[in-house]
Amino acid sequence: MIDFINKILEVFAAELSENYKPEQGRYDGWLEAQDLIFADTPVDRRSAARISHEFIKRMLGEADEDKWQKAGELRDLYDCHSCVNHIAQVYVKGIMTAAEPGIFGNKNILNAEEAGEIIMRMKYPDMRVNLLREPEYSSKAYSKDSEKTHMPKAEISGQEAPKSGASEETAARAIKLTDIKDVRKILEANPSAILIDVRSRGEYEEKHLDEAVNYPMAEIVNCFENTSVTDSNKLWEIQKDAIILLYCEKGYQSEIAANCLTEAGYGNVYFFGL
Amino acid sequence: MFDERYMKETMHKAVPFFEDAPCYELEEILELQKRNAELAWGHPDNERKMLLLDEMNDLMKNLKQRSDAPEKIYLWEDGKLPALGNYTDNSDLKYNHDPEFKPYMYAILVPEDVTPKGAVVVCAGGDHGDCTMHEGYQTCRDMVALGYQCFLLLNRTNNCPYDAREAGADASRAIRMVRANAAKYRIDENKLAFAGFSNGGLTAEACVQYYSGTQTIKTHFEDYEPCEYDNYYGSPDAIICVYGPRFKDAKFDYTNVVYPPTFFAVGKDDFAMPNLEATLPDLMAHHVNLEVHTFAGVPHGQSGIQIYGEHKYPAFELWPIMADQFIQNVFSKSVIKRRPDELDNPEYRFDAFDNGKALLQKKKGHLPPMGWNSWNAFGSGNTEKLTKEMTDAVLELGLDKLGYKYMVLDDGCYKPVRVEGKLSNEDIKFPGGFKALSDYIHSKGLKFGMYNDIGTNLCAGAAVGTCGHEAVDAQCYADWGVDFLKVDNCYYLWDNATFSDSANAKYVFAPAIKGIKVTGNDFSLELTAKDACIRGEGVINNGEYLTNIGTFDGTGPAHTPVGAMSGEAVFTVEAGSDADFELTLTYATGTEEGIGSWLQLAVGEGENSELFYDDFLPASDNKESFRESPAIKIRLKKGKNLIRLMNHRRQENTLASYATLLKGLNDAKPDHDIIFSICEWGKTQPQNWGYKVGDSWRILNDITFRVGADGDPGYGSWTDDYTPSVCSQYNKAVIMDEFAGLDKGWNDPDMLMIGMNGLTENMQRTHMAMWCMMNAPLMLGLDLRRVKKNDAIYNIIANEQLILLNQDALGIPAKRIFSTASKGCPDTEYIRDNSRVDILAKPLADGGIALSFINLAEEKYVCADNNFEIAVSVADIVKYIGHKMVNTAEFEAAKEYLLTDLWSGARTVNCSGKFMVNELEACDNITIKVTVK
Repeated sequence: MIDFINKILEVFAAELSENYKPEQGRYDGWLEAQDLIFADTPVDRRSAARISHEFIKRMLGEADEDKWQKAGELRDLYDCHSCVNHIAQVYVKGIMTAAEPGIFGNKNILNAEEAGEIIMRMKYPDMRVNLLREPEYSSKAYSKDSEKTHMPKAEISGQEAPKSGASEETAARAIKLTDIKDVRKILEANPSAILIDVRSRGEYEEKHLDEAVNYPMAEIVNCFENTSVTDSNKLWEIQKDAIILLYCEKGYQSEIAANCLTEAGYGNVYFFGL
Repeated sequence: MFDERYMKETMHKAVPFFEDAPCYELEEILELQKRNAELAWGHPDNERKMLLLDEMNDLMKNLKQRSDAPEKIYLWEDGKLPALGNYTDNSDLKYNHDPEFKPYMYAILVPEDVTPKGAVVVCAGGDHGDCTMHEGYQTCRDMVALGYQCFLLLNRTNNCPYDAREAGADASRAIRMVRANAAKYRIDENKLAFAGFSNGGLTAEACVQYYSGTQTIKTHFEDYEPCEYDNYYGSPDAIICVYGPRFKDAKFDYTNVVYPPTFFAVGKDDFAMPNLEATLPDLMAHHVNLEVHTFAGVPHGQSGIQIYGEHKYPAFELWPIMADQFIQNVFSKSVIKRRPDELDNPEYRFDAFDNGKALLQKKKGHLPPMGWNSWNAFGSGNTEKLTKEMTDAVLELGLDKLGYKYMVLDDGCYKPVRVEGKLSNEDIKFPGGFKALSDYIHSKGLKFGMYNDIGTNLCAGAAVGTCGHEAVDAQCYADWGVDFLKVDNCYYLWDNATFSDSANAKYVFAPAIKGIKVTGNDFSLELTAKDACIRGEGVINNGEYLTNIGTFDGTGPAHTPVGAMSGEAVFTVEAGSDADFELTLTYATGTEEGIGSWLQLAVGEGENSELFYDDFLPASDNKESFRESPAIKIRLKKGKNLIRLMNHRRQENTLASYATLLKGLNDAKPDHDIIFSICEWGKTQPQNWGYKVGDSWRILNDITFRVGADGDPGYGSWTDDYTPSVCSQYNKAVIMDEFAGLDKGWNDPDMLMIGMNGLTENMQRTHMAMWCMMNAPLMLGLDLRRVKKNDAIYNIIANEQLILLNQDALGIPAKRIFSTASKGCPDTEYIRDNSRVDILAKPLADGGIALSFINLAEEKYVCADNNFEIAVSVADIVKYIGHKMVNTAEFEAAKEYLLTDLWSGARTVNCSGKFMVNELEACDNITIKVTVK
């Protein structure tokens, strides 16, 4: 639970006052006492729905959707009477999807990846799942772990990074790097590797890694969400088997962007936080 | 000449004598043990060995059991021992128990005049044998002296050579058998400790590893056929581990495990110390409740050596006294309930629902409560500050003078954990505490209400439900001066309520039934599903078997509230004389709505019914796999007998739980007048039983899920397919008038949504008129700071004339006596099509009646071409409510009636005796009072 809350605070650092502590959330009304008393427990979907809904409403001023009839297709919508509105709102706004068709999955536990996706959708309305679109398309970008094949970790020994070996049907997985030395090794071994800074323009201009180009995460995501390709979008020019490394501050945004790329067919994608 | 084989055989023959020590005179067994010990540890020379062996054989030949020896209680029926089959040969006499060994236990009990404190199952170490004497038998003697019913366990010993799952299965079985016989042993079924010594300690852990939580014998032994013992919990409530901690490199899998509080007693010179040191951090990391005692200078295996007359380690002899304190502490804090209550009092049973008798001195004569509730207004964002402001607003607006008096804190005000076992205030939202807030509200002349839950947790998850804590919580409510208590059923243990385990349906539905067989003297009768009659509603008979024997779930709007809410399968059996018979069923168990595992079996109806079975049946493999039940003893009378297979536990369990809370309130504050608002959302059809313990009962899920917040009025709907709308609630409540009254209580179609977005002014006026006519509780749910005297909202909620209808001394809710959509019985038909006009009639204490003409459609109603259909005559009124009116004859005979419009105040005179409207705006109402002029 505390991880989920801290992630929100980090992603929304700009919108919140300096040094905003989780306890402040109780005063501002988007957190309940139990969220902090049971900080170690994993966050379940209904709690995530409540917290994300209350946060965007109270802290970002985002109004509720008046028409939430679509939420009626969730058979477990009314199971928890105090959660109904939160679940309906996050569902209709596209911030949280159903766990399986017709079931929201109140008590299901969110893993770190799912939690990260939800927070990103809170921040970037463009990333929200548009329920009017065909479900296959929108679920493709945000499929759960189980739907992707697990690739072995890349050999980082000064040799060329291996090709993904991904089959036609299943996408390769983006690989998280935890040691900056591994990043250097890959870059040294692969001169044609592309290093991308996914933070905002301003953050990039203030300071960035040598050789890194700047593509803010939202742009990358939009690029692969939209069916039309624009000339100015250089990303499309990159070969599908190119070695791409993405980074941001904490590793959340670069992870989202990396997943976007792997979904689009890029086979050698890595990401890391500074 | 030393004969190795002779020694092995003799010592092997001695084992049962040691293990059965409770059956013999102690001095005689000690003689045998002395020689056995010398052979095992004394290093005698060969000649001495042979002498000792001969003496042992002589002793054993002459040993006789005492006349009052305890009975051997075998753990498993022949052929039903769950076994892995790996142990087949003991010809080298390596092990104490041969492959044919049948595990058993001895009950060693406190005297009849002593009230037992609980049960302790005792498992000695090693391969049992003579360890049984000091670790097993002596411990039993010590614990009996401390007041515990003891059970000396002779199970298949762990690793000698049996597998931990087999050893654990025997331990688990012994535990289940003791729990199942709790009444016989005069103990609480949920107060059972397990004392394991050395290897016996490992057995205790095996029992927890494999058989705690929801695991059963069948989890680990696929072919095992469950019996009635398997419906009891097979792991201990506390563990006493005497020098038997897990080996330091052993793995323990905590998933699926419920690890009970554990007490360790280990000597510091014990070779098990490194194991203890390795295990403790792991247990602590998994939040196991621990008490640990180590003893200087004490090596392994020294517990209970007093039985041999030895007192080498006097400090270590104290561990039973310390364990006693530990166990009592655990037992007293535990509120574990593993089964719904026994319902000894027939007043709590379905057959008593129609008798009109209230329970526990429930006060009658309460008019519908009026006040303000925080939920619709502020949801879980309500605070002490807001509540005080609402209290002030009630006074400023003069609402208190109109009857609004209960200020109720709904969900969201408690700290999510108990503090020292008690409810506590959420400290940011309610910093001053509940007593201070209660005092403030009382100082303004108003009354204070709070909220709780008959389950273990409140809906949002806070672990402060009253289940098991009723007495403590009732005392807190009494101390805080609570005048009103609203109680829901989230996380309820004995039904598949909101957030409860959906498998709890097993408690409230009978198994699927294929047939029954009744046998007695010269009598045998087999009946199948085809021979069954259905009593009530809902039972499904597909020709082969019967299902859905239980009570409808009333939370949703699909089903009418009128008529039978449950069904039974009834077999008629003719008996030649009054006699005892045996009944067996062919059945299959499930854990879902429609097919459960709990059977009630009664013979006869109403006051003459006799209940012969009210419990789980042993589980079948799955809901399609039928099996035979154990024989149930029944008694039939001469002539026709109705054998009823049923399950009314959905209603009975819930009634019992609410009653427990009422009893707690009665005990905490005798002669209190606390209004008890039952809020299980209609799930268990409370209109049938709510009057016995409560003042009102919710009839459906919530009227809105889009509650407000500070600065947000929330959202209400006029119509909805499910429950959140004015019409959904009205449509069900309007035909439930016969369930309500001053001597019973009130149907509760949920709180008022007046003031919310989404409802026009007409909708809000009609909402108020409906609730007033139906004698519903009038609980405001808006931010009263938004209201000014004589503004639109004020004029609705402060309509004194309408309120007077709701608070009329006669206490009779309105009856629907006409509807454009009715097929002939407007008062009982469940109509959900909202394009219609209804007319309600309500008799009043002063002899008048109130009539309400309600257009539910979202279009204006205009009477077509003089058909004057929206009309009722005096005759119509008398037909439906004449028997409830105060002065029917006068009303019927009158020539002129005075009509007062309760919205406009306009008065007219009516001489026709026919009351009609020709036009009604969308969602609007005309409500009038009719009195004889």
